[in-house]
Amino acid sequence: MPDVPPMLVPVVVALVVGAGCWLLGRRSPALSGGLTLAAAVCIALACAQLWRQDEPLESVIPFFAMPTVTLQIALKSTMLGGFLAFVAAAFTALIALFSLGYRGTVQNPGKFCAYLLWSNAAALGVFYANDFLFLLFCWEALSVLLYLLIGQGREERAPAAAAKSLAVLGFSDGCLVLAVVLALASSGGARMDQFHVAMGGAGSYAMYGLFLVAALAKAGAYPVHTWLPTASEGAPISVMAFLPAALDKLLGIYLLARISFNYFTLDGALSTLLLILGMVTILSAVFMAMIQHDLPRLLSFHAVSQVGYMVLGLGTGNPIGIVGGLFHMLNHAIYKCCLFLCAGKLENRTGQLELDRLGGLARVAPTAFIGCVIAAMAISGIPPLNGFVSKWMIYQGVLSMQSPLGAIAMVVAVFGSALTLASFVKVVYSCYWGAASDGLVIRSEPRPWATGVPIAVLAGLCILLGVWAYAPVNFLSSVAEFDLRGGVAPAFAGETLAPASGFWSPTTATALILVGLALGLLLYAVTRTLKFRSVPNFVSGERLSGTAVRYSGASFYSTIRELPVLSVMYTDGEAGVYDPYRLGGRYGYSLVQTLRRLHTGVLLVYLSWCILGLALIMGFLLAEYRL
Amino acid sequence: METLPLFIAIPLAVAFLFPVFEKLSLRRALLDGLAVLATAALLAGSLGLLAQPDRVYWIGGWAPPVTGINLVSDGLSRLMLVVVQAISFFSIVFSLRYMDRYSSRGFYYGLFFLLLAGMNGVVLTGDLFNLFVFIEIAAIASYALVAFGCESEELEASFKYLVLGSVSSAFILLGVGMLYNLTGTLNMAEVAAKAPALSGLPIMAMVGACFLFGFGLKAAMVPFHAWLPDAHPSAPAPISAMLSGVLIKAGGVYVLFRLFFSVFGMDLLYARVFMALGAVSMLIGVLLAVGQWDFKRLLAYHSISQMGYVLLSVGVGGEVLARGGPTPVAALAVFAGLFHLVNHAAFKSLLFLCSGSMEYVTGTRQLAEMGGLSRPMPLTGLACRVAALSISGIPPFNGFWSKLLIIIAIVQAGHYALAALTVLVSFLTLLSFIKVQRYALEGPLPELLRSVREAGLAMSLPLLALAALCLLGGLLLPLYAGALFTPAQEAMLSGLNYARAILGG
Amino acid sequence: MPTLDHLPYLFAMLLFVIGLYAIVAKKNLVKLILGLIVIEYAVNLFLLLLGYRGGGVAPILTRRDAPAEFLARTVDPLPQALILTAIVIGLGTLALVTALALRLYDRYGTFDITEIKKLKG
Repeated sequence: MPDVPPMLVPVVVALVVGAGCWLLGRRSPALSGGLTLAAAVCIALACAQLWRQDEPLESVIPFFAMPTVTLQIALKSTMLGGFLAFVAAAFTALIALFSLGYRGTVQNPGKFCAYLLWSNAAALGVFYANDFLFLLFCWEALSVLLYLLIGQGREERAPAAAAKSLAVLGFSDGCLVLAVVLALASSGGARMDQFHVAMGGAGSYAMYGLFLVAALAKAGAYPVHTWLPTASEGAPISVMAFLPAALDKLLGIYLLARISFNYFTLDGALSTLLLILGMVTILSAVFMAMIQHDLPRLLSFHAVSQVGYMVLGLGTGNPIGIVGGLFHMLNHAIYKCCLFLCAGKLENRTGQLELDRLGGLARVAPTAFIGCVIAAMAISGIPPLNGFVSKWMIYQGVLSMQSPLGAIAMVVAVFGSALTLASFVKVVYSCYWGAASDGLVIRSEPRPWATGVPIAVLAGLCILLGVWAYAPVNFLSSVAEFDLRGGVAPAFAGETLAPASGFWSPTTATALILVGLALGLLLYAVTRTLKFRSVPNFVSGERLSGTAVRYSGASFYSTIRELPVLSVMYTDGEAGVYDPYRLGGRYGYSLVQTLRRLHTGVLLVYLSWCILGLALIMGFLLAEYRL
Repeated sequence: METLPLFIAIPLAVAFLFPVFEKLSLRRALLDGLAVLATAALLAGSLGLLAQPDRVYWIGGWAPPVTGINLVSDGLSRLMLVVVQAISFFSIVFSLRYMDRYSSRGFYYGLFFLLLAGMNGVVLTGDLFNLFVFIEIAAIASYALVAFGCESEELEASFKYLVLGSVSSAFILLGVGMLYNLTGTLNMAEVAAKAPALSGLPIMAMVGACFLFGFGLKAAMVPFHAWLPDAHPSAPAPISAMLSGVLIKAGGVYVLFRLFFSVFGMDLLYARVFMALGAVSMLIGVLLAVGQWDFKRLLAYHSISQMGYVLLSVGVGGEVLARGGPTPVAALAVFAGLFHLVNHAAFKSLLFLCSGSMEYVTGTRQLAEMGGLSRPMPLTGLACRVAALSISGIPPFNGFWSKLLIIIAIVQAGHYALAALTVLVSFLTLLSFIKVQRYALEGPLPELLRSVREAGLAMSLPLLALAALCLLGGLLLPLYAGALFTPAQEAMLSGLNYARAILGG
Repeated sequence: MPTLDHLPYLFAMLLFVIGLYAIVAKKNLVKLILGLIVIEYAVNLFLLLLGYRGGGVAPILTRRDAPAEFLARTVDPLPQALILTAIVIGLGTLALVTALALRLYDRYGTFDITEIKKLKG
């Protein structure tokens, strides 16, 4: 038996079991689900084992070579990569468990399981990859698998959602192709751990930019985030919780960290770029999230907004910011996955995800309620949960830049956090408190434990990683120090984190966080009073009964969208003016129509093109001969 | 026994048997059996040829020094031969059921084998005039096949195709005549031997332009492309698969490669024309494809675009070669171009066959009128999806590998803008195939199509076989690259040594 | 310098251009087909001229001729063989295109090629 490198084993297991599930198809959902769960757990254990290795493992499997190009599977278990591979595998296991009890639309359970496992395999490939082309292979495979997974959703809406996701991700994958090929050409085919480009010259910035587009699109940051909210409209909740909420964040931020600190050097200009992108992402998305009525769509806008914090953290270029960004990536995967799963549990019980129709479900779905509250507090950065710690570190990082932009970023981040809190108060209120809507039918769940356990685990992690933040922070600090060290700006190279010392010290940041929290609650209070004036309801002189005048929490923040400038931006935003996908579509369409109009169907026109082309070629050849 | 002439003789003989059989009212099974048997035998023969070394067959024993007409089996012709035989085999199997919709089966098979004979002749011949004759045989058969349904659109497409094709043929003949006047021979190897003396003559610009136009039109390169989106969709689906899958390659791209690499010798000018034609076709083709709602018309425009990839990549290889750049880069570019050519044959004929299968059961080619077909037609849906992902360059399918190699080669040759263009076109291709999947395969099934079912195993089997080729074409590349692509790439890169290989000495 | 000897070539080219003009500029299907024929004949004429030799004899070898001396006097027979083949091919194309034109007239009720444009875009 040939020597199979240990990092390939989980990948192969995922591929093979996935193929089995694919062949099972619709036949036995329980069997394919069980198989998937078992495989995912085994893979997670194997990845944990690999992560705990002291020495980084390396292996190369040659595939095809020509003198100037080598296609190979080169694997290396780095500190960051190995850890993230384990996290990805763990998420797969949780989602596999959740899917066993998920009642929402999944067209073909066998294929769903297969795509789930294959996504896991591809994600492991990305994290273990030590060869750019292999990374590219896995990266693109993930985009297609996301497309296929979204396509498993509701028949009417999934195709459009899947199409847009693949279109945007396909564009970013194109950028990655170009970036990878340029990187290989410029370095003479270096492996990833050997690759480093000194900044300077348009080439290095162009390459960084291309990599950046790929990383940001996968993570879902401005301006290539637009696939994420659309995906949520059609995808099954389990898919949203799996890829866009969890794995895609890990992948995108992993690549961002690698390019910023290993392959390139994050200099002042790039740092500024990242800070600005981060700020725009935080604000634009959280404002959109405020006005959403559809729960997955709302959550997905937050999934975009939170990426802004990670980008901000990495963009600072200083150790505490980087560690904060990485930690936020992990935390976000945990709490956003938890939030989506809670939404999934609500869908299980009610078949609904419209905030207007939900309400008063705290007693019906207590697990979802508690999980949702914990995760909502975590995402809003309320101590002592994990989101607080990572946001706090990001604030610290931004502040220690001691630049005007840093200060602005700080304010934006705090403000964004406040809006997040406000938005989640709305979610918790309209889903779990208040009165239930009239038509809401409560269904039973087939396997409540299957959906409950992942929520409990993730909510528990939110608390655990917040209270005992030392362990992950210490680990990520050593990652930043040893694994990402190559590119950390020299100014910070000697700086250590010393998380133990200044951890809870009251600084400006903590004060600002409290300000942010207060702001959010204030916002909530204000809009609530605006909305909930007590008005006796008369229709045609008749007083309506109590149940008919139900106030949904969904339009808490409708007042915000009436504000002068914001109203214009909202209208534009909903019309897709800021969406490169739609913008490109409009201009592209007119170009295509022009070209089509040229093809009039008249033979004489076609013939004259031919003659013209012939004349051009002949002219070109003759002109050169003259010279 | 010498097998090379059989690749022309068998289809030619069979082609004229079918109409006779038809007149004799023989049983259908006999016709079908003969067709399948003949294509299968040719496929087996071409695969067998892969294992054998280069060789030349002189018709009538007129070997050098008295050069007669010859057939040449070198790496490039063997590659093309295999592709032609494979696609025609799958198309014939698909036709067994599909051609139920049409009458006069015998004439259909007859024209099909005439087309096949023409293409095999083009690929094998070592004589310029024979090249012209075989191209005309293939072309006339294809004009007739495009009009086979005799609907008004089909007649219109065929007429336009014929007029443009005839004009290009006239230019080809003109070019052949001029070349004969310059060299006093029609044998490609002898022309190649005299080519170094010719280069630099202004008249060669005329000859080059005639051939570039003539074969550029057969290969449907922009701006000579306008016939293709009319003609290819109008033909019956298996014929569309043949035309897009192999005819534009065997009759256009292959000849361009053969003439400009082996016979004239690649120089910087020709290479630049190749690159320009390729790049423009790639972009214009895909832009036009994105806007289409007729499934087959969309596919036809993509043929232009994908052939642009091939021509661009090979042109880049030629350019590197001509300017004295690193040979490995040129080799990679040519290799990638040929790889993409083969891949395109696989996934484009698969797509056309899928469109045929869908049209067969739904009665429409309009994407807007389809929907949700992957549910009632799982096999067709799967094959169509595989092909769509292949042509969009999605891993792990074959299109990903060839496009990746093309982009790597272009970057290594230093053409960064062209590499970016290639990536952009690839993205636009993806967009249009997302559209295909979304409207044809996904979403709710329209009320009219509730009763749709898979059209039977005879139609599904070729689809699945081609889909498997699309999947394995990339993953098994290391296993067969040495047998299929490397000899072809070496044959092209050896350039004018073609003369020495054939004439000896 | 062009001499009088080049004149036939020039005429062949002129014929070619006339044919091309007919195809590009004429709307009537029949004229278009005629243009195709003219082009074909121009090319054939061109090939014939290539093989022409002033004062040459027909390339028919009889028993009385000595091969070497015969070769010095005869015109080049190869282009004639090419033309024969090209004429046959042209005939096939012509038959097909005429049939198509007739069918087109049945369907569209016109011989105006600019009216025959169902396929476009």
